[in-house]
Amino acid sequence: MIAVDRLGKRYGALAALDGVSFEAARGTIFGLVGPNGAGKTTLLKCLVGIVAPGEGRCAVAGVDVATDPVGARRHVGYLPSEGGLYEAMTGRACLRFALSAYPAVDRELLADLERDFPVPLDRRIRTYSHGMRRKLGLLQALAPDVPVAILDEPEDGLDPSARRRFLDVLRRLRDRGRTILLSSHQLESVAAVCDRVAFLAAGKLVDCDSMDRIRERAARRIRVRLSPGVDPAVLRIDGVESVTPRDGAYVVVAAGEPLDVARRLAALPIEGLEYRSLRLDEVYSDLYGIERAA
Amino acid sequence: MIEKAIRDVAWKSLAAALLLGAHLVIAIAYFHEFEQNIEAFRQVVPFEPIRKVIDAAAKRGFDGYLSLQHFFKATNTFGTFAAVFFGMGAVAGEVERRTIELLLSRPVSRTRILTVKYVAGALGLLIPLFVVTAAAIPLASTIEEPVAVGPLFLQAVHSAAFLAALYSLTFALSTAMSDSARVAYLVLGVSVIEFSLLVVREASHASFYKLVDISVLLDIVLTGRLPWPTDLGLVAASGAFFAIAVWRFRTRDF
Repeated sequence: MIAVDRLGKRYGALAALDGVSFEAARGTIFGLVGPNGAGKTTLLKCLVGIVAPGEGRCAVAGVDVATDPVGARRHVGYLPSEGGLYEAMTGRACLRFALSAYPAVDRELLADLERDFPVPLDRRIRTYSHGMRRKLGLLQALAPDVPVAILDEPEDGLDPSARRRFLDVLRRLRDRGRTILLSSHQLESVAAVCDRVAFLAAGKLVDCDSMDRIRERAARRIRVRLSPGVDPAVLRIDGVESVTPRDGAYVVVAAGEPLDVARRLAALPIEGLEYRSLRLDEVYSDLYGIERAA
Repeated sequence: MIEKAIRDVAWKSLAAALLLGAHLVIAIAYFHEFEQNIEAFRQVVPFEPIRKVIDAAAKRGFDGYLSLQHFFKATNTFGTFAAVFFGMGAVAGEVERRTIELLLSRPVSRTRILTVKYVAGALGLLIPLFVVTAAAIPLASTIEEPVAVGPLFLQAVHSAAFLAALYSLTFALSTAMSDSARVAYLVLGVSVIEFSLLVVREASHASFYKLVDISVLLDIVLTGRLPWPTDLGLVAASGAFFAIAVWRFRTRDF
């Protein structure tokens, strides 16, 4: 439903995107994560034709965005990251304007969304709080009767209960066959709803896998703190795929059964060993070399 | 999209009509006083070129006075500000308000978005000019002065061609820049310099306001004909600025 093939975009010397490729199948939620400036927003803008890629191609619902941007956008509901709305309009007028360009609007879904994300639609947008603006942005992005929704930081400004309802809405839309591409810093939410996740850093795709596989891979990571003066080479025992220094300890990735490898590592001269299934934010920290809280 | 574009320009258009209309009402109300005190006016005016303007207008009676007050003075000054005001925010304003992403992510082509904005802005700018010009006819009857209707509207057409070119230039700059205030400062700065040049005898030929100078307007009154080469040139300039705007808007990343 969404195909990105060797997508590249440069701003002068800066590579905002560098050879990014992935696909998101119909009826799935695809998460896009990465630090600020990783290229997530640029990628999403390429998918709706707001930014023209320098290299590669991308397509939505089989329509090439470069050759037929209007045709591609007919299949996409889009929530921009900064969520600029027309301040002088009422919420209702802005919503009417935003939806008027689409061939069809799912009225039943819109009514549901208005219940899930209540917004004072008859008030001018300039009187809205940040959260209300975000909810209005979600209404206009999700209500069009289209097969794809592209959402850039959708949870920004939502309170915890709205966030929970938002994740429920995404699950319902996925069950109805909609493909959702979601860029988010809320890793708990990404882990909770996404079927696949791509990690971007400095414009490059550093990892892309199904959530199940990411969980399975995360379960094979063992953190070991060696006794002082011990050569880390001792960690390269049978059944170990890789050893990476991180935060004064070592991340050992087991090639085989992780419990068995952990048992054998425990017999080495170590100060401590941590073996548990990592959360997505911990996988993220390991991928991007960010020091984790103890 | 069309509805929104009309709503965006409607209040500006109303403001422009009220301003231009108020000036016209005052100007017509004071016509007889002007007529009786031309010599005194001539003496208080500090520059020779402006004295010539007053003389030229006075020679054509009420029609010349209307050319001077409504077209040369009001339309050229208020019209310049209005042209800049209507064009400056077309795209730069959307970038500033961060609404450009919402606008461009709709399934509508950029050419259509820009064309709707351009046409709405141009109509919003020019309709008040024609409406207020038409209002001069009943207003003139209140002071029992006849108006040459044909030349009056030909002057409006000529002024409209000039304002449309200025609006199109501002509009094109707005598609290339991200700060509407800068667009306005740029165009108004150039316009003020150009208007100043008009009253400097040695440099007046270099002013683009020479195209809508009182002598050109009075020629229209006298001959009952438009200066076609100038007007076609202005229309071509508007077309060229709009084409540049479309090209820039279509190729620009936001």
